[in-house]
Amino acid sequence: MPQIKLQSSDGESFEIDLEVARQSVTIKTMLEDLGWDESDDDPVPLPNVNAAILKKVVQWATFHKDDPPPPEDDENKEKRTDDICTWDAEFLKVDQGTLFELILAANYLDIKGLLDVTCKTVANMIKGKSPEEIRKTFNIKNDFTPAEEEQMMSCNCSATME
Amino acid sequence: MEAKQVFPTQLVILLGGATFFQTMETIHKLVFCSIICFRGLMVPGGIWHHQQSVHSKELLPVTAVKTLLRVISLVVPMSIQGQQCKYFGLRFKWQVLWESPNGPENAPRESRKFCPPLRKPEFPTNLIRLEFCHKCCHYYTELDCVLMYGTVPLRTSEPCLPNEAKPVTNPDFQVFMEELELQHVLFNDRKEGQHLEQSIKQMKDLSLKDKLSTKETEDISCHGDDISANGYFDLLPYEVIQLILSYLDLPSLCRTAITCSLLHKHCYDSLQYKEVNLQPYWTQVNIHTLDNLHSRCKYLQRLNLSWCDGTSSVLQNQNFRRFLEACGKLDLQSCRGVDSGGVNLLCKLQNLQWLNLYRTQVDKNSVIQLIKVSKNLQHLNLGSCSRIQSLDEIAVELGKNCNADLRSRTGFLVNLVENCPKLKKIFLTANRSICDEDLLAVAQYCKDLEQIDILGTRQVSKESVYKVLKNCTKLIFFDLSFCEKIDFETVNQWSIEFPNVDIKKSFQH
Repeated sequence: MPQIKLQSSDGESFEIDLEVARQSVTIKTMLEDLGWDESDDDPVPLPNVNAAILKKVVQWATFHKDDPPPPEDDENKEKRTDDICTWDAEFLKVDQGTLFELILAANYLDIKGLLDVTCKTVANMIKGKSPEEIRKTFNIKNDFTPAEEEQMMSCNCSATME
Repeated sequence: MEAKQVFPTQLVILLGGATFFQTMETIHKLVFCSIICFRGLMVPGGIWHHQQSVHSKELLPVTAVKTLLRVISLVVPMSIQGQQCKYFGLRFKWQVLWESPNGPENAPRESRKFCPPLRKPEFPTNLIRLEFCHKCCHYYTELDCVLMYGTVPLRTSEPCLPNEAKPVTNPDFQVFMEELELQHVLFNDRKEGQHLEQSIKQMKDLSLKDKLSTKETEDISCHGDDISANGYFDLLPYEVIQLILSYLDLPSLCRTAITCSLLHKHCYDSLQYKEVNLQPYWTQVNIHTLDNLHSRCKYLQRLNLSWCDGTSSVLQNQNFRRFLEACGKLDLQSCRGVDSGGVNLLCKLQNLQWLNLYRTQVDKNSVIQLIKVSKNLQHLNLGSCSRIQSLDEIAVELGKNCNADLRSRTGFLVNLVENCPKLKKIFLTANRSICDEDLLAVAQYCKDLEQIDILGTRQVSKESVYKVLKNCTKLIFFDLSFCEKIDFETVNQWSIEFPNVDIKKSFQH
């Protein structure tokens, strides 16, 4: 199995299976564009991902290396969030900072499966909560003026739906 | 005569072609208070059913078969009982008596009896609504019987005796069975959502942890200025926040919108409202809901207003029409308030491609008018429209005007297929008049046919069905349930000979 070296933003190198790395469309394209071959020993630099997060991403990609390619987005398909597999749910029991950094990394590296599952996890943290609970959960400041707030309460559909 | 209002205490639901009771008499003996009963009523749903309509790309994993999701009872204020009950709307109160604690669950594919433990009813009722989730069923599930036991309100002087049990025909005693899309949980009543509480608890745990880790994160917040204003959302690019929000149900989206201005902007982005499904919130939808959604629905393509009984007044609203102008797909299924007046207004929607009027109050003339003006119409569902006596004229109009899928209840087939040789789907569910001649015409003309349903057709012979199987090489779905001349052995043989065709035949006793 050919291996490839990835280098995190803080300079740490990770040697992983090429097949695992190719789940990242960003890396895959980079390798194709660069005409990479097995004899290449230079690490691929990933300036937007630090070692701690890269380690998690590699862990995720290794577990999912035999997954079928993710289906194309289909607008008719209902968006579910209750279909996160047990392994992923366990894997994503991390602090919020790590979770959001994983989202950023998945977005940068273009790993659709990881991006979907992390975004679903955040969506699940929002679902069913009151605005105040959402603010608390994500440490969000209410930056509306009282007048804006009043107007929103009168025309936001959640007001009529509750 | 009116059915008595009772405090429901027990509900017995027999599913899947049950054999528990051989005759209606047996059932009557068992009933103490009231009875709702259907013999062999088929509840459609599941992937196979959706593939017949527009959801052709849906590929959900088959994990669960149909299971009851919620039982809701309705209270009707004493003053407006009777006739007006038909148009119950927002003035009435619903109470959830039971809901599946874990969402859809696996249920066995066999006859079974199901008695959900009911919550304490808050009021007496004579109307019960059962909501099913059957996204993953393989075929119709038969609902054999629903029995309701209850106690009579104290003030009522006459006691309810067993021999007063009402037979099935009592029109006031209705049960609605509908499909419920998987976005099943309404979070409106906080007290009721068990798993909601759980998730809030988990969240609290999580946010506690977050507090502990805030110090670390502050250190790495080299990203800049003011990370605390919008939490970590400040770090995410626009499209990623959009992706997260795309997983939210409508009430959650609305609540998120009022947390802060950043998320407000995201939650009001019209791209989040390309498809709006108000069916799960049918008890609360009114004209104000739609007015409020109006500004966000610039790119609306599909609107589902099924069951939203307030729809009649909604359709007459100017704003509503403007807001639908770009919308191509409209689902008004079971909106009892939609009548010919409503359909006339739909005639003004030039982009309408897909329209579901199943179980509405539309009449023949307004539908013909609609077909005439809706040049883009590709799908029209007129099933169970009780005010349409005959579909013949409608079929002629369809034959003239468009290449729509046809889902209807009466015959005319030869004429239709001659004029529409490119038909892909023919649904003739429970149409007793279909005969061999019709099927032979289908076999002759419809080379592109993919799906055909002749459920409940008694006159059709094996030979003509075989001809369709043989000639229509693109066929993938053939529903032959209750076709008396077609036996199981033949169906099994055909399944082997035509492996690409999903031949359906329900089990009969």
